[in-house]
Amino acid sequence: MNGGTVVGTRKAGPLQLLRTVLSGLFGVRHSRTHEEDAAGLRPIQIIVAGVIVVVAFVLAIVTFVHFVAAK
Amino acid sequence: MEATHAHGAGHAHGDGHSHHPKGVMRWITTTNHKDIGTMYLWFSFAMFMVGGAMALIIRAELFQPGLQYVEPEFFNQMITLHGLIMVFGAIMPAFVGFANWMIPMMIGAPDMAFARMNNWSFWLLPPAGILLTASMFVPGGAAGTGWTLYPPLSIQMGIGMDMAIFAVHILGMSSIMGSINIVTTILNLRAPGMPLMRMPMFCWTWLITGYLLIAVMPVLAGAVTMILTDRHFGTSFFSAAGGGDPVLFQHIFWFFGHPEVYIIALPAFGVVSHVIPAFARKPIFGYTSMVYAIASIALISFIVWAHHMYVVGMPVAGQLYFMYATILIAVPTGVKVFNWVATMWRGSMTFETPMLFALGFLFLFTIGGFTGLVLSNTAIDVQLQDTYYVVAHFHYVMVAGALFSAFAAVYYWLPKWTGHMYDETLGQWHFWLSIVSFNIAFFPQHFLGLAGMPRRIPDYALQFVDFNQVSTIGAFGFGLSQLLFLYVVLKAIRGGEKAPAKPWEGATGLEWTVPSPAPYHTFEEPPVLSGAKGHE
Ligand code: HEM
Ligand SMILES: [Cu+2]
Repeated sequence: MNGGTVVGTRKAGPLQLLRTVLSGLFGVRHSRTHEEDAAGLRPIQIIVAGVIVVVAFVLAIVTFVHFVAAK
Repeated sequence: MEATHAHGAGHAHGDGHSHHPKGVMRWITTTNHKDIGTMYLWFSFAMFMVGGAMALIIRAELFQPGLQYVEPEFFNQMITLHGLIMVFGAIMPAFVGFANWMIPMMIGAPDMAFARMNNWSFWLLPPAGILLTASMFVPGGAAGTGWTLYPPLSIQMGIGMDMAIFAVHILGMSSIMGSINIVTTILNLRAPGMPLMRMPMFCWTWLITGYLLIAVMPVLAGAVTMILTDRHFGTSFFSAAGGGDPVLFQHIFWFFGHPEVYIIALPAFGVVSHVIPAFARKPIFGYTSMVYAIASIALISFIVWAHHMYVVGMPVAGQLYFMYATILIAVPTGVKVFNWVATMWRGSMTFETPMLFALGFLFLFTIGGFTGLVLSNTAIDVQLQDTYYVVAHFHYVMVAGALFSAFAAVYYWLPKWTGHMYDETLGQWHFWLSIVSFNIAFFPQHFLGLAGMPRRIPDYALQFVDFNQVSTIGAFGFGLSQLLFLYVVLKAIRGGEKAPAKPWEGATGLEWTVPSPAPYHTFEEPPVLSGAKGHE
């Protein structure tokens, strides 16, 4: 991307992916951590991770509700 | 492709193409994104006037308790057509119009990806608009169900209902084709050197909106088709007598409906994300997190729909789930507001009309967001559901949100479209008249709702008189102010101070590198992007 150097080939781990998506959900983050992430992530990874996080998000609320609504 | 190249190289392109049809045929056959954008915008304005006239009939009837001007049946038809026409005829086409005009210029593309389909997407709209308005004059009148088209009422209505269903089908087709076009244009036609994460924010919001539309318009089409077969072909999807369930319709409708409100809101966010940086003379704060937040708003908008259905009967666990999910979606939405405020922080701001409308958007959309949060609380919503509080909420997000942002867009880009500056004094008058009368019209509706006045009724109890009269006066003021808008736009089309290529000191982006008015063909050769950042 940036000038076609090879920075972009470093592999990003799942934890880093998760961090990117969660900070995306929240909406604010440090620009430096973003630059780091952007270097190692491909859009498709982010999209898949985003969908998985949303499913997890739903399940988390459902679980929480399960406890709150239990007698 | 061959042809464009062969003759694009030789001579300068202007409006004077000899092989272009002239007169009406130019508009009917055009495949030019600027012509089509213009038609979308005029269509949207026409529908805005029609829907606005209907709103004034509603407000006139509500000026006093009792029945003065219209029959209750007709009142319900006005409520329905006003909603459908404003949502599908005015707001959505306005933003597709902006997309047509601006996205190719913003990304350095010669036109939309599917130029002929673009023509068809537009020309589907007028028949739908005609179907909706004409349905008032058929036996039984127009649909009287409200824009939500809930059964069993929508199964019982006359032929006006079928016309509304047909109109919704056509509008849906237009939206889907328009979205495919916009998504493809953004993904495939960006100038070399403009990566996705550097493209203008308006393109991002439309890319995501495009996917939302492609995902939910078929859902709405399915829902109204099931109504149609229930009406005429003996099915009982929504009829309890035949083993169906009317509540099923509400689930399907709102599975479309909640993403739909973000379909309306996201392009508005996009516009504001251009106008505020331009007039604060600072780049947008947190571009990347803004992109991610918009994407997550879009995803989460699919999992909160039943907050519109708290009172139809659902298990407590369901109510709690939808309540928590809805409250949480407000977080990324709130972060957007934070981003815009941070963009202005210590900027050198000026307050031309586009900026005024963007700031009006910011203030009033936030109020609408807060009332949304109030409504997301099940225990409170059980009181407020189907009252004027809800009417106040969604007018703050749709009128003061989406419509004000559309006004900001028109004033911001008018110099580029017409080559003339609009009349700044009159533009500011339009803003102040609009924002004051808007608040006179809609703020009291919060009180009416809290006091228990139901929505969608032509008559009401005596204790609601005062606020209704205030609201009606405000509504007429708002309606009349829009005539001033029409005047300002026409005046700028006919003449005025010549606009330079970049009339706004702080504006950035490729669209400001072409002359004003933008020539009929722009970027036949992709521009060379020198800086690393396309959007700055
Ligand atoms: C902070 C974000 C928002 C929240 C938490 C929220 C919440 C809600 C809730 C709970 C309702 C149902 C109220 C009821 O019927 O009793 C509602 C209705 C509505 N909202 Fe929002 N909302 C938000 C933003 C928006 C936006 C951005 C738009 C459109 C641009 C919008 C448009 C509407 C509409 C049109 C209705 C009423 C639909 C109808 O019954 O006819 N909302 N909202
Ligand atoms: Cu909703």
